[in-house]
Amino acid sequence: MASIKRIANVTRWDLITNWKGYRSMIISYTLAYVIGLCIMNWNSRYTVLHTQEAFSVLQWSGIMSMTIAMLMTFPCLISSFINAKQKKISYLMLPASMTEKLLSRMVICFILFPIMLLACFFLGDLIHYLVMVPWMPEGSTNLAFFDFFSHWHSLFPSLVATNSNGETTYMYFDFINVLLLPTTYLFMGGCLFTKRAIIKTWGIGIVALVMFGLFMDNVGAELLWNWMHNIEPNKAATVIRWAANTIALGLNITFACVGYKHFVNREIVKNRRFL
Amino acid sequence: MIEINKITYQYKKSHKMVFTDFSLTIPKGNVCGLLGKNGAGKSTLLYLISALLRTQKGSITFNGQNVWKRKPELLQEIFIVPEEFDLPAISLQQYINTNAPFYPNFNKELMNECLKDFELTPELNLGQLSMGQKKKVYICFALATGVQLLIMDEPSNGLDIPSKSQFRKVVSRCMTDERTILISTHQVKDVEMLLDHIIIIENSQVLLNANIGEIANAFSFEFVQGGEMPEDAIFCLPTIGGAAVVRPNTENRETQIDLEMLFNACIANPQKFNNLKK
Repeated sequence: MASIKRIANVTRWDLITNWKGYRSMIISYTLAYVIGLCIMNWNSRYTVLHTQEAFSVLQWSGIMSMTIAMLMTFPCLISSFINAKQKKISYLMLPASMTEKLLSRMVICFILFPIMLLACFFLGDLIHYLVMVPWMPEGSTNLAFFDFFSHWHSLFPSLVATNSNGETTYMYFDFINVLLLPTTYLFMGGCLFTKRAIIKTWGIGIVALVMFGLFMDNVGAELLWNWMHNIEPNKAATVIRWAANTIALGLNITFACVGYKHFVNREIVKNRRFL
Repeated sequence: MIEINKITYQYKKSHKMVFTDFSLTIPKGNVCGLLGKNGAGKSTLLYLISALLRTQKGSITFNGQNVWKRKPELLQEIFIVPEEFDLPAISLQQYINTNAPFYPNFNKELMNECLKDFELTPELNLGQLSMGQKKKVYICFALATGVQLLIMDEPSNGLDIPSKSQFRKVVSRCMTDERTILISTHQVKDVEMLLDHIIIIENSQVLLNANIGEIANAFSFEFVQGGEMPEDAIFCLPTIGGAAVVRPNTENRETQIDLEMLFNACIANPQKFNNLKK
């Protein structure tokens, strides 16, 4: 049985022992995010937000893409902190089960990341606000940071999409899977590879995507097209979405299991060929 | 008690076979010296016992539990001081506060006493210490954890001359009947007075596995003047004015064990030590 006390102890140990690594990672991620945020928001005027008009779709998609990209690389980087032999000895010898150690890493990942994200929003907005002050019309003093939260609830309806019949479809479920799939995929990569984990994991991912693309191009697309046209379009779309989600869920579980297996069997030397 | 049962281990990347069908029993309550030539597999064996490496065949048990399962209850009774280690750049107090909760038998007073023996104070910043000082702090922490099995790989490397005797002092102070300390070293003179059990390994075989009393009963370590060597000498090392010899202790003489001579004799004539393999 996993002990919460031990998980907390391992998390504390991890953060204190690897604080330099975490510090560098958070600074570099925050800088990259803030710079991206400033570039994307450069032309936006806060009066737009203040008058409750829709935030630019392009900006939202840009911010979401950046967030997803960061969330995906985060687990891989966290795994890399115990790759040095001496660090590995200290970590593996800690009196906690490997499951507890894995849970502690996940806790770090899912606590540290949102905190960092909030800091990024705040910093990005602060910079934008300070730069934009001389040109801001009267009354438009709200920071986008706060507006982001005031708009957050209105985001959820967009995740629950309606089809042409006016029925609700659970886009939110898609969204979770979309976020989880690359995360578990890269987490598996982080557990599997000891050097250049992100590059290697993405390399495999790209090869898989190309192969899938070739398959769809040659065989799959025609079959899929025929199948889609034999049934009602809306139903077909729903079936495809659910099928895609089921596959994504299956892949998530598979990646998580492979990652877990490699994590718990970790040794101080790389005792596997080709990895 | 540590029981190593017919283990096979190979480094897959370098294809180096370190152990084949290797078995060994290490009794508890001893300061045990693990000796062997370079590449004999001493460090690998320590890592296997600590479950930092996984055997391809066979099993290693400590107190009847398979070490590879890495159960927290077992890990809190094992501590390893590797030859090279990493300490975070934080204060010693912070290090203790972070690591001590994992060890239920951790004794802070003992830690402070050991630090005092090494002429160190508890108000230290680990980031500002030399390698030797870090090693002393790490050894102090390891001893204060109160674990049943303490493994040390080349513990005297990097310690200055006074620290080597201080090291022997702190280890002796922390020794109990329930605790086993396994020391792998090439610096036999540094730990000669400390060890009460000797294991010598070579080519995946145990050449010697006996306590100091058994070795002293079986062999005598003498200095012979002049050029004539005793006929029954197992090993002799010429020195100025004579030679140091190892010979069977047929006359029940009490002599001081010379670990360097013992090791050389064992490597040169392993068949003479067959009775001390256990």
